[in-house]
Amino acid sequence: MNEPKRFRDATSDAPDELRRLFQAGTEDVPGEAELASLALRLGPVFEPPPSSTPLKLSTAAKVAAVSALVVGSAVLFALNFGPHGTRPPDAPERWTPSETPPPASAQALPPAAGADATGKSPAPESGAGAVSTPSVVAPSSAPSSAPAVRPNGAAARPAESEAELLERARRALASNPARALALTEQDRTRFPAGVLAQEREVIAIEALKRLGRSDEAARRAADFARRYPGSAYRKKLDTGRP
Amino acid sequence: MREVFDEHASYIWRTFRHLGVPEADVEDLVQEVFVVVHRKLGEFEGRSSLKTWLYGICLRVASDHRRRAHVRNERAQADPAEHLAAAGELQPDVRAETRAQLQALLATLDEDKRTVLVLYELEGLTMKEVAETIGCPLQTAYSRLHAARERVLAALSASRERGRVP
Repeated sequence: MNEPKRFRDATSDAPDELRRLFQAGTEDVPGEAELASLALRLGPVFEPPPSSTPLKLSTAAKVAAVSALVVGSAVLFALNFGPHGTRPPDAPERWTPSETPPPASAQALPPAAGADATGKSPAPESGAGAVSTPSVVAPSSAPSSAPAVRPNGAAARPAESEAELLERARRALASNPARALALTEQDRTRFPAGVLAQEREVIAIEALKRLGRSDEAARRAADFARRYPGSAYRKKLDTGRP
Repeated sequence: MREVFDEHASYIWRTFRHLGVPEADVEDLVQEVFVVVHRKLGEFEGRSSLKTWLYGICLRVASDHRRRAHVRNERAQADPAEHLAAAGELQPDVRAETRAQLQALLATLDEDKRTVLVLYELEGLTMKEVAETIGCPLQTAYSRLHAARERVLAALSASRERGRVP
């Protein structure tokens, strides 16, 4: 059976308007900010499996990973590398659970994909059918662990994750690109093998651009292209968007 | 996982848009897909391509989303006619306008036809891959594609007559 020519095929007999719309549809990709936001939310699942049985996490590990995901999700909305951040300039950079609730879907992800109204999943028809979304532990309204108390009585800052540190860097971009750049360097020191190295570089390159260090930004972008040839960010960086 | 993200995140994102997921929910649903992938990738047997497998997950996540929206008695989709009427009026950005016009056309289709049309016309799957992904006979997939194309052409024609050329 021959497949029909696709609407967007130049030799199809589809009206020009339809060809134009469907061609545009194939070029509709998320922006750099949207990708970075998603990547920072997904940071925990980018972590390599801790054991020799990849992706077969223990129950405790699943809970920990999903909990981390939920926390990460709550932190990162509307990532914006444009000139105008979505956060008020006088707002604190440090996210706390009370500032931004996690998305509803993160608090209560759906039952297993394909589940019926009773919540029972039918037998999968294929490999692709054997999917289910996990039960997600709703985040506590309080921090997961109480901050340690320093000898001088000041509360120590809980260990900050790679995603949280980079989120601070991202937030600083609009108002203080020098600080954003410094935070990416801090991230490089603390997480030399971090799974969000691409996001770190994207933020650093943007910070350099904003600081007027365009030559450095270009060099770093070229290095990025060499190190991450398959990166989802490549297209955006290649355009040299100011 | 990182490689899967780099290679496939953009088209998963795009697929949800084309399947009619509201813009505000797309990121959450892409995240759901990757959580599922994280859990299931080790069980992926390679009987289909990774891309086809991912599309299957996307369709199920999108279907669940529609079901939840229905249960909440929310409007997962605005009226297609409203979309067509609004296209070009509310979106100053040309790309956003084009996107809205395409979404308006796709919104004239029911879920089955829309899925086949999106996978074939926009995502470039072969019809055999489309049938595998949605789990239907090949002939059924062809029938849905034919009906979807006819419907889209009719919707375009109707919008022209109303002077609302997408």
